[in-house]
Amino acid sequence: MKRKIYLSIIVLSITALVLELVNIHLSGRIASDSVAVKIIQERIGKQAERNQIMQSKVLELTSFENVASRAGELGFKEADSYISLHKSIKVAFNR
Amino acid sequence: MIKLGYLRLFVLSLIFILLYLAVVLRLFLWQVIHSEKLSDIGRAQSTQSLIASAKRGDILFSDDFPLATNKITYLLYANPKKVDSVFSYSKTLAPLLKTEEASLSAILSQNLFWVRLRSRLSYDEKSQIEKLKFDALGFEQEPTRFFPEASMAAHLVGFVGKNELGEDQGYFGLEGFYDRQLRGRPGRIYMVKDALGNPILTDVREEKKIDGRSLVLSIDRSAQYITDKHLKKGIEKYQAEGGSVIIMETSTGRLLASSSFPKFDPQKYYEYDSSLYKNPIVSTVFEPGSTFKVLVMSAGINEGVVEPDTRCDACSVPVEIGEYKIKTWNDKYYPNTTMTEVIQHSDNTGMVFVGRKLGLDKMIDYLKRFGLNESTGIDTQGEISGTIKEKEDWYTIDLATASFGQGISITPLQLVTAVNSIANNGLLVKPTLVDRIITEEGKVISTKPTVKRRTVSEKTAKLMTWMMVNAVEKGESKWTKIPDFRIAGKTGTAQVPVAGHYDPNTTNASFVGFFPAENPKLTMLVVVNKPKTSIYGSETAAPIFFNIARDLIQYYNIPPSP
Repeated sequence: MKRKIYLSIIVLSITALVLELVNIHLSGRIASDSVAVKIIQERIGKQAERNQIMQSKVLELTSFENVASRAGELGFKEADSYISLHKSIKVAFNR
Repeated sequence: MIKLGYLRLFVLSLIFILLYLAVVLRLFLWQVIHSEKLSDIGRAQSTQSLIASAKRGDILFSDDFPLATNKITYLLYANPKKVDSVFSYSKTLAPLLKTEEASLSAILSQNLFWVRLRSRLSYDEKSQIEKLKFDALGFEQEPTRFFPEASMAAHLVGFVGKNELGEDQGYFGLEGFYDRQLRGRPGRIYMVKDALGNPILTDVREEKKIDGRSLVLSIDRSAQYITDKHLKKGIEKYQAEGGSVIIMETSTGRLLASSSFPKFDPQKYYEYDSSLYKNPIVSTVFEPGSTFKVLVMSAGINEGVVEPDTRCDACSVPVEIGEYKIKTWNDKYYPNTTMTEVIQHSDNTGMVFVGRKLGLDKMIDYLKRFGLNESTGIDTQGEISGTIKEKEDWYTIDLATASFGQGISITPLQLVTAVNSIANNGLLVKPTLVDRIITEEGKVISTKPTVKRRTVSEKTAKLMTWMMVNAVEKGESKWTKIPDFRIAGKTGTAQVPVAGHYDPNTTNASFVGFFPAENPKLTMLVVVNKPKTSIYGSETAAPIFFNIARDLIQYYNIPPSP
């Protein structure tokens, strides 16, 4: 009977000790994971920032106002009529 | 001796008991009475609370290109206590920040830990400053409202400023009208952090943020560009003070384009006079002049008091009403003229004839039917309405002048909506700007066209349409019409009231119309404010109308009239 009691106490103590060690190990893992997560979060944040900046640039460049202004700088002109000729056409003269 | 021993034991025990009680009481004080306060302090020391800003919703053209969206800009700050040389910082930064060296020096010399140097820096500007590697400088991200098409549709969109709490708030236009839906709701993230400030993952609480809803407009970006271009050219050519154009989809009331000049840049709204923020098409009233004749004539035809070939027996001379004499715009008179010719010649005396036949009661009734005493209900901020006087406040001269659109004030949107009912077989539709609202979860809420009421019968609408086609074909604007397309339209030249009388040399010129006449797709109004090269609608507003119509016919592939 006494032996059984001693055995139970020993088993329970060992179990408690093991669980405590596991708890310490897991807490340490979580704490260090937090550091890794923080680094990843910072990287994600930077990429998201770059992404949004690029999107804004694309919108600016593809806006009608910008395209029209650049077209003017490149020498494009508005058509005065709705018919245009791409090649010169020979015209016969009456002498 | 033994009694002394017991006494000592008793006193010692008492001392230990009292000490023990003191500790227990102290614990009770900290753990029960002050527990909440101490928990809060502990939480504050170890808990981080971050605000997750809600992203403001976008406002998109009908092709999903953003009219208003968000971009990242940066706030540059400095820690003056870390600045080793105020002179070198100021000298280097002043040209980059486009500010005076002296004012920068003053800011950096302050005995503070944090000072703001400049906000709304672009990424490129930030990169340039980062290359300087100044230790005392830092950047914070600032979301800023961004308008990729600059001042296009500025009056429609409004702008985003700050309210008394320093929060973003929309003002005017769609930003103002839909501000609550666009701004969303910020969230909060509560995290426990360790001694080094790293988050501890097991204990994160979150009040989820709700991003703002986005709006998809009925405004067509290409049509808007075309409208802006021609209106701007026209205002410059005719040396006008300003002008507006509204283009509406006939059957639904959806606005496809709306342009007004002078305008402002919503990105830099603070650099413009606040009088420019209001959208003239909904926030200002004007006397419409002869464009109004189509409404009064429709009323007369609908009531059966006149028909297109009814002859006017009082149109050979100016009409005298009391001390007033009503003349035609060009002092030409057409005895026995028909109603069709009255519209063609824009004959004021003919319209007085119609007004008298209609009578005051019916006139007021039709003005209300056409929606001229109520707001259209369009979804934009700042709409006002013209007012119709009560019957007892009308004089005889008022009935006469109202017949040709003077002495009555309405907004441009009210006018085009009323004329659109003639194009739309007599049905008055509510104008709208927003086609769809997209929630944060992606759910789509669509706007359906709303028919308010019938203004005139289908037959009247058709008759009026052909009278307006005749006015374009044979009237004063025939020189600028588009060949092969039947367009129904009417010119307007309204004298502007100045100090209690009308100035004959100052007008608001206008042209209203719809096309193609046989099956109208688009209704358009052009208003030109105080043109100088010519006061007449036929010579200013009409050419702008037809220039825009020409481009829109191509853009929408509208086939020629059969």
